[in-house]
Amino acid sequence: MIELKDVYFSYPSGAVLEGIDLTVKKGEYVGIMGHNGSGKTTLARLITGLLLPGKGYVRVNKIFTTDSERLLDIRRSTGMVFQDPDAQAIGETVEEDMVFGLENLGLPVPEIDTRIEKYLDLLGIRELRHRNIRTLSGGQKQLVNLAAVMVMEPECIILDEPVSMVDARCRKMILQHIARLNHEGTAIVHITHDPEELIRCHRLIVLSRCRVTNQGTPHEVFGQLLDEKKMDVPAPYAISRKLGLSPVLTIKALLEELCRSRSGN
Amino acid sequence: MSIEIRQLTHIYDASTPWETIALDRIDLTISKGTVFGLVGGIGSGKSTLASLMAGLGTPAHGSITIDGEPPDPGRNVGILFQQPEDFFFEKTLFEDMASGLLHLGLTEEEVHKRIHSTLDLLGLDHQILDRSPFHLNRGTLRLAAFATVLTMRPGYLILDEPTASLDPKSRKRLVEVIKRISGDIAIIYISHRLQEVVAVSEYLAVLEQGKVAFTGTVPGYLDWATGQDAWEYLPVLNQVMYGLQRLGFDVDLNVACLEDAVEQIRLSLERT
Repeated sequence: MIELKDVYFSYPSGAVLEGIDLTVKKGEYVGIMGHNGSGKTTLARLITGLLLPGKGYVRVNKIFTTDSERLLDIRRSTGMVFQDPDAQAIGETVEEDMVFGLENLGLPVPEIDTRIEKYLDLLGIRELRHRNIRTLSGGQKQLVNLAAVMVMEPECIILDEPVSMVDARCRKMILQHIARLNHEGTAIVHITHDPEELIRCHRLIVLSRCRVTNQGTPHEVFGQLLDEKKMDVPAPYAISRKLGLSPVLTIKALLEELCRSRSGN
Repeated sequence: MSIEIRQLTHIYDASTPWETIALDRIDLTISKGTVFGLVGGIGSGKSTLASLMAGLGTPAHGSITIDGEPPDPGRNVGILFQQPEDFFFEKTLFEDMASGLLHLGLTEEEVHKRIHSTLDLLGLDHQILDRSPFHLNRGTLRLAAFATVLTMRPGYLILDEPTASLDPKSRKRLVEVIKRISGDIAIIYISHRLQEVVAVSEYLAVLEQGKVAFTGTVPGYLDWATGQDAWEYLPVLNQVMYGLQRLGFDVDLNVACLEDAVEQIRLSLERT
């Protein structure tokens, strides 16, 4: 549903993306990793039409992001959760913030109410509904932003560092919900530095120096990254490989492998 | 020489139906020359405590003193906010870094000296001073924001999620700097990255729903977390070690790094 073809983009300070080809199919879960300044956030902004490519094109459901008359259609089918939690909030309270987008979709009031309740419950932040966004912590704001995008039920959700400010328990919960949304058919583009967040994605892409340097399943890409010593990989993966076990992505699988290895001795 | 927090209570939206008790009778002592980690779930009160310690806002009840004085931002205490990149707005980075110092009444010469020596301390390229903050990437800008707070030379420095949305390389750099400067000042380190908090801190406190659930040393913290089987409070490597201990492997809970963990597991496998 998303297609980038030979995309170039530069800021006045220099090139950020050079010759990027990327497709995200309907219902696919794509992870994007890269260092600060590697162009990850720029890529997200190009997909949603917030930025336009200097060369090449970006299409969402076959609509070019340069087609200003149909930009609204793109915005409806893609929802973006920004990295900076303050960049996104529109309303005064959490509820107002969530109502805004739904009213723009033209939904009837009772439906708006049901949906807001559903997603606040899903993310476990029902008690924040009437809170002033200003008084929320960074992590709470991140959850509210996520809810505000999920409530729109877009075809594709683009997440830019969605759990950088939340605690371990909350991170696990959010990642599970992202995986579930994906399972139910929502395409996901998940941008992060943290490899542990991406173990569930179908396809993992590494951006470095303006280009795509690695691409494949998490197992394939983590294997390459570990060999190249270029970027962090999930700790269970690194430990299992260094001990010569079959590579695993989770702590649970690592513990199982180690038990097997012990009884084999 | 310490920050003394006594019976500190803070309430948001007081006397409304949405009244929230953010901090509930907190007692903490943070001594100079240490890195003090502060962890807790979202909404546990970490950021509220941080802003009150930084002298931003008045607590509803209780007191905070810094070396016996009330917090005075920019003078006895400094804070690096979450997402500090948003606080840059001048034409060049230099103008941004200088504005606070000029506000403190320093001479231009002294301002130049402080900015350049701080950049040296952090290993930052002096050329970035002439660049627009809007053209620097997030990692560089975060270090620049950190440098800006350091130029104020606070005796107590609060870092609120300093490494959030930084890549591993920039994260390591920031953590190294923190370790290097912590001998002279106290650093209060707030983060969800437990691996990092445990690596950088000597003491730490856990906040749960506005109350202090634990305070003590790092090994004490790991024992506290495993004592109640609270995996979510353990950094990933310690989770692995704890899981192995429970399965009867002979390994230490407290490991410094990935290589250390791998070595311990290897030895334990050889022994069986």
